[in-house]
Amino acid sequence: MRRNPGAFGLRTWLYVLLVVLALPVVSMIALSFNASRYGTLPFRFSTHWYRVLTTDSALLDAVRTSVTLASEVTVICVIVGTLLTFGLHKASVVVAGPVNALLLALLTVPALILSAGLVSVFDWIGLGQTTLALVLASVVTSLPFVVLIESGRLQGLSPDYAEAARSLGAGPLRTFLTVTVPLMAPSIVAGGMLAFVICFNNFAIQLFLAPIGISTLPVQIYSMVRLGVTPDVNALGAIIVASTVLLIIVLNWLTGNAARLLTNTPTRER
Amino acid sequence: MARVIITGVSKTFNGSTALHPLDLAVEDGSFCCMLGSSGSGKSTLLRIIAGLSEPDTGTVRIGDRDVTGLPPERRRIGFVFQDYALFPHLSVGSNVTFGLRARHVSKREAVVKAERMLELVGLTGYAHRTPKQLSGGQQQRVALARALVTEPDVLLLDEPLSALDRKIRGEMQRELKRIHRETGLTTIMVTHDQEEAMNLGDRVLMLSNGAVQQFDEPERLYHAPANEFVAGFLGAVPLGHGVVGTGARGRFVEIAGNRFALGDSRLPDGTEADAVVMAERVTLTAATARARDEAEHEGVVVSLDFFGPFARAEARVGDVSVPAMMLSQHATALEGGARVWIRIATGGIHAFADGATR
Repeated sequence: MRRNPGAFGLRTWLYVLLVVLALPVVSMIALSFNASRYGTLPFRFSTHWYRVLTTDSALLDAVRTSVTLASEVTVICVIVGTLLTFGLHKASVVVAGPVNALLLALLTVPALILSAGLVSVFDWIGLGQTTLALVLASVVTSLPFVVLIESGRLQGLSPDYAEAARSLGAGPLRTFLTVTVPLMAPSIVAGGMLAFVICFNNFAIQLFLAPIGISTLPVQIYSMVRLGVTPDVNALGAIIVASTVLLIIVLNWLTGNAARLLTNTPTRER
Repeated sequence: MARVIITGVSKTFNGSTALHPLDLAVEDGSFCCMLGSSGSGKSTLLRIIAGLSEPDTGTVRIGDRDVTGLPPERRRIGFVFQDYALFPHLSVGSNVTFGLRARHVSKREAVVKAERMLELVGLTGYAHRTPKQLSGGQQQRVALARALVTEPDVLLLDEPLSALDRKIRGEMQRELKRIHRETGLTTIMVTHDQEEAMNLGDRVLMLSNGAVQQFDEPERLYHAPANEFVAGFLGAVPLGHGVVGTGARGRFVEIAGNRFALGDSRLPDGTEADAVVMAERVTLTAATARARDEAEHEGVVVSLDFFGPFARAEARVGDVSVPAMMLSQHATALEGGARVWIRIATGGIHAFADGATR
């Protein structure tokens, strides 16, 4: 094989970069399996900190709260977002322009500032810091991602498919459900998963708007870390990283197969 | 089975006219080809018949029903798209049964009908494949089967063969002819390929700039083009501007002092006209081969080009340039600068006054 010094240098640089990027995560996972409370060497393998986690009732409550919140927000975002996407596609520029600008603005405004604004709005309309307020605020932050992903797919979708369905005798609703939605499925699934992750991780919104006495996972971690990073936080971090990786793998697989899953294709093998 | 009758249909897009008001009657069981270049309005007209686009004025009748304003799903049509538009998430079988299922035909019956239709287009046993696994020609057959299986009143084809390569296109043309013969279905096809239109159509509707130029049988279109545009689209080349007259050997058009024989021109003597010539109706003979016939012109070969089986020559008669298309084997006796006798077959020249009347 011919050696190219430029390519070699580039490859080395790439590896260095990858190691630097992965270092915090890798060290966190390593420390979560270290018996030492202060992260000192020698490394002695232990699952002690994972067992500690399972006894922390406040933390488990926080996990449950976060998963529930993110699930609710995902369902709302997918339904509202999908309808919004199709509405924007059909709407005139006069309507679609400002709505798109608003969605884009929501993507760019810092979460902290948005949260502060939402707190005053919810106080003003009498919602205050309630579960409903938290869900609404989370929907506001996640929705733009759903619309962004789905409208990208919809714009790339040839109108011929829907027209073909109509010419074959299918009404608008049947066309939508049996042709357009299945063809949109990968982006709907991807949008939903992204909404889940965005909502799950949105620390600022949750800190500002969660009802008193209720902690979501990011808020709970924050209060734990304030007193110093303990190995059980590392263990928790490792679990979150693992589930995120799992989610991405599932997402990847789904986007390739979603269309087939959502439609029954009567195939007669012979 | 149905006639398609269009009355006073017109359409504008954002202020520019796509279709001028036009009338058209396509007879029951006939094959009508709508021919024109892009922007001629042929696709717009087809989409209006299908209900995929609404006309600004006029009515569309299919059979004895006025379908103007009806959505496409209620028009009982079959539509084949240029790039097939097969549903990628469904198997070939499900693509074909789609229209039947939309019409609430039972699954069992739909599958049986789909099998039969796939057999008609020569794709027996392909039902379980996905569209992606098929070649372009096969996808086109599936699109045809899908459109035909619902037993529509009329079959509409939007440039169905333009995405296929040349060899498969010929095969699919024969296939379309056979299917049309076997089903007897009123068929309207849009194309920009004049050979395809001539080959397939019982009648050809020639469109340009949203207006009908001629609606005729293919032979009439070729032998008696209605105007200079139609003649030009079918390959006629401008010969020059001259005056129509009558001489000892019949009608002629005189261009720059040369008299060229005209076929059945209705133009009165003395009319100024633009003349066009069909290059394939011009024969060149080397002057050394034999003496000149009275009906032949004397000329000089200016250029000679070979295109494999065909060759094209350009000869000059005085100041008039006359093109000739021939089989390559007939061009071997010719050479640039040589004197030739030029024979133009009867009907090889058409004259049009003001680029319109014949």
